[in-house]
Amino acid sequence: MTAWQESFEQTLRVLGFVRPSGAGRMTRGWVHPDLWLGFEVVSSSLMEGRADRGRVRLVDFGTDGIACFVSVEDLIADRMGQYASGSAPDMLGQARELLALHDQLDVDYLERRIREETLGEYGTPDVRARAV
Amino acid sequence: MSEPVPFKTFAADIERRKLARSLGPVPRNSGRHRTESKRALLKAIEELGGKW
Repeated sequence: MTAWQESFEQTLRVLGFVRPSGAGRMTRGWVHPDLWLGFEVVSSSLMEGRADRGRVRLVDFGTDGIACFVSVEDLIADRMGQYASGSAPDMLGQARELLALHDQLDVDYLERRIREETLGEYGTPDVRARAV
Repeated sequence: MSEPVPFKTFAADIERRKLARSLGPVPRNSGRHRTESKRALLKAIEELGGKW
């Protein structure tokens, strides 16, 4: 996501990224012909502004730059939101794996975010059910 | 935001967690819920010769 889409896309073009071409390909995606690297710009704010930006994880790749990753709590909440929508029942499994893999989560924040993303339908206990 | 974590530290942390859980490779998404935009992007990468 980026709040500066126009500037961001201008920079992408300078770096050699292009839009996937062809009929019917209205896309948010970008692809680099030489790097075979593709991604989508999905939003102008982090999870529609509901995620705490202070929790974004930064990973330093040295001369290749720094990458930003959404927090695990927000990732679990996002998966639970998809699960609650009824369109992606397998997302519960991903949420449970993520929870099982991380033992130092902010449980209060996690509970709040799951409730937000599922419109109050689910909470942390629903993810924990088999995440042991 | 927090201080950047060196990639090697980040990767080692992931490996430690996977070993603690006795996990093999983490399963990939089924792909059944992809948007049209995502499908177009993945097809473009394939057409360029890439694998995702």
